[in-house]
Amino acid sequence: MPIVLSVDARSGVPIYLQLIEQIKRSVALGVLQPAERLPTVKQLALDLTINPNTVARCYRDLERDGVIETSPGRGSFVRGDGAEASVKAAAGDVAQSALESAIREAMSLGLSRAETTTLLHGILDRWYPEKS
Amino acid sequence: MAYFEFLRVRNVLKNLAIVLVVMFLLAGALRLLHASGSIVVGDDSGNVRGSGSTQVTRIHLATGDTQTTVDDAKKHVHAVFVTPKDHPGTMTLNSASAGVDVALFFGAATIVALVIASILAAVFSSQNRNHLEIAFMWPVTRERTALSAIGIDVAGILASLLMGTVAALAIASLFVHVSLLWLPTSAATVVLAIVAPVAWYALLLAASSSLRSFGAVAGIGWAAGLLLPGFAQIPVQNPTSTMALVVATLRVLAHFDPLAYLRFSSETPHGGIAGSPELALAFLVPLAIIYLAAAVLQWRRVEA
Amino acid sequence: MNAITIDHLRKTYGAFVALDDLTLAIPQGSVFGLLGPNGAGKTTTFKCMLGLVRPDGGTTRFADQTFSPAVLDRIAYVPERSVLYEGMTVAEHIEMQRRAYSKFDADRARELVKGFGIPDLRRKTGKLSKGMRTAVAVALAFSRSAEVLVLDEPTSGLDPVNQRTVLNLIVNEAASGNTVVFSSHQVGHVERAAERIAIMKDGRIALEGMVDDLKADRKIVEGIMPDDSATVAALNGNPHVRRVERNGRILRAFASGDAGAIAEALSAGGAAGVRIVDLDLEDIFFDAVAPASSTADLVEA
Repeated sequence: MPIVLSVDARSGVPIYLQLIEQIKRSVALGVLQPAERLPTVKQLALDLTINPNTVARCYRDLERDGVIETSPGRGSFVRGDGAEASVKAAAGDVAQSALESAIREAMSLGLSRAETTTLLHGILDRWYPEKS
Repeated sequence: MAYFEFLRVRNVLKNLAIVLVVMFLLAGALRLLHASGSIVVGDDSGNVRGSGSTQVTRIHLATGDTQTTVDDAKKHVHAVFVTPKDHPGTMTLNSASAGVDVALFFGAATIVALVIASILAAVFSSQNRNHLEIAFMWPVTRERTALSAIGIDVAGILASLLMGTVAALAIASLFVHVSLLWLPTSAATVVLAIVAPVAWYALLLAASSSLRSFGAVAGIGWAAGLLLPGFAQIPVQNPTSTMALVVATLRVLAHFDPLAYLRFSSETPHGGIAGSPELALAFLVPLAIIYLAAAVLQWRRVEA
Repeated sequence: MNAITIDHLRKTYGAFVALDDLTLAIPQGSVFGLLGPNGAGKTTTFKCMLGLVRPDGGTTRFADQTFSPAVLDRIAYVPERSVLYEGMTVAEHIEMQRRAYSKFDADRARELVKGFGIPDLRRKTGKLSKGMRTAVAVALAFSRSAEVLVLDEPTSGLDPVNQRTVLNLIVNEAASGNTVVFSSHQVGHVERAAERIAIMKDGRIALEGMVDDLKADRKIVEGIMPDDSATVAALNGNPHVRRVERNGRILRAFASGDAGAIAEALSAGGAAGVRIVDLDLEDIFFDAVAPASSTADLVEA
């Protein structure tokens, strides 16, 4: 598998969530292609030195979210069918989570909704410039 | 199952072999130092006389020397002395052969076996120190582990007895041509030589099964074991005095001491306090069994 | 099915209560981490489980069977301190295990021992360093194909590389469907390798649960109050708030579940800059065994 997964065991974020996030991101960016095979639960657990059930839970949740599919005996694969939909869904999830963190931070710093909206628009203008 | 004990016993026997070989070599050196003419007896050769079954014959050789032969068919002793003509007051031993009761050698080897027994009896206490997490985690009952270890130790004691006997024989042969006698009393004495060290081992084992160190048991054990028979023999004038009571108690206690049953002499081997070797065995065998049972029952209850 | 079931275990040494009504269930095929300060009773728990110490009350069952010597063939144990025979070589220890246990793999043991960096199998274990002795004990335990592994501080004395090797071995056993129970002072290791943990204190279980659930559940909700004495009424008596700390204007509510609602309550109660702080396992551990500022107190003059 071309991507490199890493976990931060000391982070307050549960490891399985970290893995889910990283895999979704890889799918969204196309680093993981549709129908590409993921490492086995055992292999990934050994590579990362983490509990196999953590990996299993991650794979289960990814399957539930429609990002991967598992066939017994053959392993886990990124969903080949409806690839665009799953990619978009994955991308949406990752982006949403990042944006929520940003908004939460702004809120905790005491910005009002109006102030936050102004900031957001400024950032959007910079990153998604409208072609005239 | 008790592989650790097998290695330990093998090591002890290896060291014993080295000690016995060294003793043999020392004896050999001693023998070589006296090689010239061996023992010189300063005496008027005319005064040597035989009595009972011993016969003394004196002949004059062509060389002018006098040859005195001492023979005892019953005791299987045959010694040849020569009195050189220019040293009339001396006798030099030229050759000798002696008949020796087999049991005597076993008796000498018993000391070796007793020492080995007291070394091996540390088996349970040394496990208790910090190895129970291994010994009590075998997939067999603790009784089985205990009995395996004991079996190996008893085999080791018997081996040491054999080694000691061979060494004693070898050393004796350096000085005298030995012919082995098997007397009617020999069998019982040999069996005594086997059972007594095992009973001694069993006693020390039972005393130390619940402990974590063996030093105190060894020290007190040997001291008490050796002294008790002596104390029990103290003659008492007044049978009703407290002294008499103390001696009587000691005498009873001595019956529990395997060392008290040991007396070896080639003519009339005793069974120590018991009186005869057969009677001694009648006491020692049950004692050995009881002590071993006590050891096993204690050890299996030790907490890691 | 549970690989190990401990019911109401009790052990006292004179007046000292080492284990106080301990109950634990360790599911088959899981990795279970046992944490706790020194003297909390972790080693005593293991020894009572394995029959090395007789408990004063309670029972232990392995795979729903009562304890018997035959069961020991399926259990491997690494004790807290070295129990190897000092006069025996590493090779002789391997031979000893081979004779005793039916599924012992001597080749694997030799491979593992070499992997830990022990150069010569003919070296007597008494001459090895503490870490090397731990490594030998671990190598022997992991060559048993045991269904259950009980490891008491299996990384103590080991260098970081060897520590990682032990963790990999634990993960490998779990991936093969075997059960591992281990205690460690390295909270980071437990965090990675264990899916369930129990934190012991004073002979009792202070906290137990799945690592991921505990992390998801336990958060600190922090807010800055308008002044030093302002309080948030909604926090009092809230079952999800374990305790509240004040440091000047900063208020920290230790939440068990429902962090979002508590955050809203704080904001509604006048706090600014409300944020939810994630806790790693070490934080959760400290909170369970040494709450408030007891360690900081020792440091400050």
